Amino acid sequence: MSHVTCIELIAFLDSYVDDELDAETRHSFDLHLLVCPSCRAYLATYRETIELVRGTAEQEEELAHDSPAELIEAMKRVKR
Amino acid sequence: MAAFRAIGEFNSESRVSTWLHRIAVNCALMKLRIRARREKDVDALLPAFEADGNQQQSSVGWTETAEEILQREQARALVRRCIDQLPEPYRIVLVLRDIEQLPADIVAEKLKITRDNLKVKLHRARQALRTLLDPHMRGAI
Repeated sequence: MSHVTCIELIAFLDSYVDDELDAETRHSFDLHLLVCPSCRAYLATYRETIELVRGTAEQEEELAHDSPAELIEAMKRVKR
Repeated sequence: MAAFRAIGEFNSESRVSTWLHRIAVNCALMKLRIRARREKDVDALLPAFEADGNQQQSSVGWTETAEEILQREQARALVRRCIDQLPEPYRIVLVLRDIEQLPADIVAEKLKITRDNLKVKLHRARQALRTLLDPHMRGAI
């Protein structure tokens, strides 16, 4: 892949982010990113999106750890 | 309701959050199977391109990093709302891979799709979510 366009880069952006591309293709992508500010912005915001999804879930997980044991016991009592 | 029905099976040595999460995932998978035929697509939320392969609309960066955005509950709520707006099959793939971080093989098997199909779906889900977040993230929330 010698000359990469935006459509090709964005189609394989997940493979680029996950470092699954062969060296030659990755180099072609890197060259395109050097000259295309729009794709640089797209890549940055794609990565931010993944971080936001994971970060939001981690915050919820921390809150969930505070679930009171009393709640579980109350649910069990009602169930009996 | 599913958690209430299953409370008798709760092992007190497990984390409540893990147990509730598992129930939620199983409910989501069940809904996915029931609604598989009614799958909506996310084409309208994917980037568009000119004939020469360039992006039709230039992308611009966001004003804050994810780390900064996540400091505010209001922003986290917005992210959750945007995730909820994704068509269900894409939302489930995003949850299982990017939130639960389950291995691709296991998710593909659970959803009865190929690994390649799963990879495409996850990429489309992330792109669609990026599009939904974009107008909010360009300015302060």
